[in-house]
Amino acid sequence: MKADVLSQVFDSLPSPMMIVRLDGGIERLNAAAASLLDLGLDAHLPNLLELCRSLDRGATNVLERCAGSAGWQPLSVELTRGGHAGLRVAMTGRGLVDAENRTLRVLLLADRSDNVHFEEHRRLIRLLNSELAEQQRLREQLDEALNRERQLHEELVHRMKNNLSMLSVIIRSRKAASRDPNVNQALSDIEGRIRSIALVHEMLDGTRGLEVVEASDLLGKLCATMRDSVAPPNVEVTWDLEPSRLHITDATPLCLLVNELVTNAMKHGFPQGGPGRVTIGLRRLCGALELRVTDDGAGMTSDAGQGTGSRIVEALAMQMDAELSRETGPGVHWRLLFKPADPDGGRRSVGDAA
Amino acid sequence: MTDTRPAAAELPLEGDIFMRRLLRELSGLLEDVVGTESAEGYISGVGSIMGRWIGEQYRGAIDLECADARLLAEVLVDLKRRIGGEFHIIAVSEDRIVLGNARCPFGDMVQDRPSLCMMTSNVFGRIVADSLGYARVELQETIAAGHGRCRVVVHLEPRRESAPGEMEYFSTRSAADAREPEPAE
Repeated sequence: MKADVLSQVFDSLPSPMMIVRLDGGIERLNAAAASLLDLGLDAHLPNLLELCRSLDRGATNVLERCAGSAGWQPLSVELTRGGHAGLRVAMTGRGLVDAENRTLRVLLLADRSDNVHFEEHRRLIRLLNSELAEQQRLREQLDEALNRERQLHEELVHRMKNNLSMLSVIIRSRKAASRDPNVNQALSDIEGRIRSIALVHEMLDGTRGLEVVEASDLLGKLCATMRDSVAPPNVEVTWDLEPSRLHITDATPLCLLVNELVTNAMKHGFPQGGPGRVTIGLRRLCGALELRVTDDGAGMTSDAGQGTGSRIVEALAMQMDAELSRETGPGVHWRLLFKPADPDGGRRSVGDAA
Repeated sequence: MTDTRPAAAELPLEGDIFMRRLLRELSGLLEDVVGTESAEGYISGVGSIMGRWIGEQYRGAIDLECADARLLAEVLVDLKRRIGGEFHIIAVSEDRIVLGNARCPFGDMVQDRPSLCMMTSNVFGRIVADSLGYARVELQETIAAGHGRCRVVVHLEPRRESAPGEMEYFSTRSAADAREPEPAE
């Protein structure tokens, strides 16, 4: 048989096979061996000792051991370079004598089953890399969509705040133009409610798209605004607010509620114009939040609680799934207990608020 | 009255028997798990290392640089004697050494353990090849295979193809000499 045919047979064998000098120099390897060692067939062939570990244990060189006999001897190497670095390969080796110059070589043959494992390992790594790339691409898409949504949300909050401000200006101008005290009162009530909602959006506008505000800041600003704009000089407005993160789901109705209760206290609690006090308190209570709005005014008559303000208060409490109670005389004491929505998710927990 | 002391019990248990039994069980397990042919590969690997080591011991004690077949045959018989074998020279010529053996160093423990014979093949092949450059060991008869004795032929001339039951050995001494000497035990 011609040498080139034998050469083709060697190259096409499915098992990795190579001919190595005793110093580790690779003289020839087939395609399967090149694939195993991650080498190009035409590339400069490095020394096998640079590619593998465990070939030389102590002073007994394994290549030399294999070279000394025509019998196949087992050996095990750990690849140190290439795509399979770190993997251990079972091989067999035997001596081979060049008939022409009596030079001794080692014929190394890797275990075919191990090679199959390598291919499976390589396939799984390729698959994993491909999936990682796909996951990365999806994540980038999601991040992009999230950024876009956040920008839109910020824009929406900003526009809402501006629109509410514009609405307040319109109402104030109408109020100035009206001479009917009933109309003026109604417009003032509406203006107060719009101001409460606008306050929430004003705070949200500064949170870069978050849907959470600090309750003590929000209610503190509302109380200060009401003290300066709604409260008569004879009524002192004070507040004591514990810090607590509040989702927009709760922030807006809570602001409206405080606005209604304080406005009602101002409107009905001090008809004689004597000195008085309205106190707003917020505190955490076993996972819930407790709002108290108290005044030391005249209290409520039995037919009170039928007006628009009271109906709004009840509707808001219902929206918040809150427990609302009132005690009268002397003064009026409102208590609202509610389980706040998850600041990070916006969903209200179902269960006992207390 | 029966002596109940463990130390007084007559048992076939002492260091040499223990080591031979250990080798028998190890080689048996190896043959069962990976097959006789692969097990012979493992034993050959050990035999090659042992052959190199034994050869170095003799080289340190007597001059083997110009050893002829006769001297090498005497070395092989001597080393087997030292480890409990009973080898003898049947014939020596320029192209072969023929040895016989009546007792295996592994004793009865070698029965049905043909892979252990690769120890003899490798040790003989290694020592002769390192001296003469080539050896082909033919195990014609073995106690392990149930022949009741061993007949080992060490061919000294290369042949184009080795027959079944033969194993070729090549000298690797130039490579070994180039290495650092093995540390003394």
